[in-house]
Amino acid sequence: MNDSKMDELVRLVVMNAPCLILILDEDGKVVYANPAVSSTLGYSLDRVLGAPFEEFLRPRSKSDFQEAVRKVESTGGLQLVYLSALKRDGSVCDLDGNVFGLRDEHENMWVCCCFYDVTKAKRAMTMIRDRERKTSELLKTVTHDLTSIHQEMTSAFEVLLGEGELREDLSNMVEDALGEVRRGSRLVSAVAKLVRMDREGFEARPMDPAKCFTNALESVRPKYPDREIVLEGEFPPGYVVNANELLCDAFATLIGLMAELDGSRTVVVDVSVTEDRGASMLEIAIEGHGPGLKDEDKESVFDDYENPVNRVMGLSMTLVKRIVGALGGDVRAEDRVAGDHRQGVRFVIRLPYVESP
Amino acid sequence: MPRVMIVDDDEFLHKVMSRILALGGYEVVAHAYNGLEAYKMYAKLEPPPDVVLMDHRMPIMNGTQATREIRRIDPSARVLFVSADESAESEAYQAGAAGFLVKPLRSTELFDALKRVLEE
Repeated sequence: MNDSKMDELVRLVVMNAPCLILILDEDGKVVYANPAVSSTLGYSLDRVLGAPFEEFLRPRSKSDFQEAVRKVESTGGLQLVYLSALKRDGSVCDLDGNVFGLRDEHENMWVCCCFYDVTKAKRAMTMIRDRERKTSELLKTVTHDLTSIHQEMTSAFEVLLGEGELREDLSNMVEDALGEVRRGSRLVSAVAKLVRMDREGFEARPMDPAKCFTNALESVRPKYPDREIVLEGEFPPGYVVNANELLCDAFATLIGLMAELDGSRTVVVDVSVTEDRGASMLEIAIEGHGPGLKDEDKESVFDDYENPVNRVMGLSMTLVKRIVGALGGDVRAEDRVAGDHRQGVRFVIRLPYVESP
Repeated sequence: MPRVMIVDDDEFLHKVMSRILALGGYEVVAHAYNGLEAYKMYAKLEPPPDVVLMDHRMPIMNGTQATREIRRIDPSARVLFVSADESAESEAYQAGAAGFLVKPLRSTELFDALKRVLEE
């Protein structure tokens, strides 16, 4: 392609660009504006040419623009700017773009500006943020109030069991109702935590996972006052992982699941920890002796909201996977006795550790 | 029989919690429905309750503010939080809480915590 053809193409690009392109002289006055000046700011070309560009900016953006031009003139390069301009009709226009310098063959300095009108996008973002804030407040209120209602129901059922002389079938029904309240409570808590993790991210700090596990066990035992949860095996102290209280929640969920699956009066939970030094990973195995998970459930228990076990646990199995994933690890379900799911499930959590004892 | 004051903005919770506490051998001596009421009531009770069961999220004055005020007039006051709001735990302890339980809890959890707080 010859030079004149190329020049013509470049001119067409500039003339038809959807963004505002300006060239300013060393006094900051507009010497060139492409036709987008009308659609972006509402001014005619005649009005804009020869005027200082700052004249079209809102007061708070003038200093930002001056600073960008100063940097371009002194150090060269490209400066990103976000400016607020006033359109001809008095409305505000948000401009997002860049400023860069050019020297011509006579060493004259020209400041070039290229801006996109992001007014609609900014308005949409503001609306989205506002809606998120309102939804977040609503979620907090719903979580709080539902949890309080669950407390009232739990206490009321316990009064019935404690004071009422109920027939055995009614007593069993009340116990089942308590289980349903527990499920509802887990669901509220898991959903609130999943949403919070999505919105706020996950902050971790060094902690001993053995302490987390002990706290988790102590928090689960009172939830099943008619059962004895017996721990076998040991979680050796002294490892350090980057985590937070949600790791305790993950352990508590898995221990609680053992109690849910195992209908016995005494629920045995085994724990063992092995170290994969090469990968700096801890493998924490938590297993139960009650009914396990069928093969088709082993994967879906973490991901499928309709999986029966995930539903009983109020989606907290999904939360376990999310927590462990956020810690840089993973979780899987296996048969406690290989090949026989009826003899219990083993959950293996792999977590990166930063120190070992 | 240990004397307990219940502070929560929910009336029904006061009713069921009173029955639960009675089953556990505790006497409920006062009911308050917000933190300000709790603080004023605590100041008038003679003798003061052995334990205050405190919710956190309440109108007018929340549980942590009420705990600070109660412990200002009685530094030996024992306040056990029973709250739906887990995130309030560290603020509660900074205010001087003796314990923090997260709703919903079974009566065994409550009684274990009460026993622990009373023994301290």
